[in-house]
Amino acid sequence: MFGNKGYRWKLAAALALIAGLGVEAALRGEPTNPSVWRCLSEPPRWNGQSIWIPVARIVSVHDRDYEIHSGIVDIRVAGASPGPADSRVALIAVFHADGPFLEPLQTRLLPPGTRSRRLMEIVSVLVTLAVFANFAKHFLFRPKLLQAEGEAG
Amino acid sequence: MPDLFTHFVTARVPGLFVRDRRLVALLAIGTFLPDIAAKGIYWILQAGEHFPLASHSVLGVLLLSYLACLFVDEPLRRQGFALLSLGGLIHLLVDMTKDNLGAGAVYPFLPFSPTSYEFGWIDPENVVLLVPLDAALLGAILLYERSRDRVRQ
Repeated sequence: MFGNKGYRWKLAAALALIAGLGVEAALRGEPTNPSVWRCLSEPPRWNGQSIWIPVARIVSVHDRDYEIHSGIVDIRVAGASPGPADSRVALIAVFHADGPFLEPLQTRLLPPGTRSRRLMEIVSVLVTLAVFANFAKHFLFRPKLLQAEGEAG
Repeated sequence: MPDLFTHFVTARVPGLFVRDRRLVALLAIGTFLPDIAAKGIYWILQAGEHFPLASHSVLGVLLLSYLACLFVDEPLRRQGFALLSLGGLIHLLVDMTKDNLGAGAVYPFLPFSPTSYEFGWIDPENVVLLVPLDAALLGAILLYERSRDRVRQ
């Protein structure tokens, strides 16, 4: 399984299995948690479906509802807005085809947090670079180094 | 995902018990593997949004680890696979600590079940608060390793 015999077949089999698992995840994941744009493209199909929206921006606030922008689409959400326009929210909501609109089950107002988010991104990039540099130190193929070691030996 | 710094530090803890530095490097890469695969599949290959979920399942981690271990030297492959897998599984556990309103970000039993799971301990927007804790833990690990290496010498 870990030898060099049939190396190309092993590579191909691993890639094929990963692709197959991805297709299976796509086929089974979509009915479990469809995107808002998909619900809006076929409202009757997704009527009553519970969906998770990790991040959305509040576009406008009205008396009895508010509108959010998620991905590439806007949709109305019933109830009082958790924050002013331009704030970010996470939602778990039920999609209703008549309207269409979302009925929120859980709502979380996300902090603006651009500075902390930026800091986190910088730290993550630096850590990734360090890990890859360490990996390259141990595994990078360096013919000149091998040649020098051979000559010294 | 929590920040990559947290992922890296959690992988360095079991790395204390691994003597070969090359294997520790593989353990660290292993803990990044699910996110590298997910982001690569989504942003570079432009796959559908549910396709990358496969990288955050147990079978997905094992397949990705197997594929990755094929790129290291043959004598190191078996141990490499074990440590890449360990890193990936630690990644899934750390991702499960997030609170995504119950929606979960890890699909451990794909392709058998599309259900996602989470412990719901940490607000994903507040992972920046983990940085000091991570830094302290990493400092302790590095100090311990240095003193252990001195004793060995």
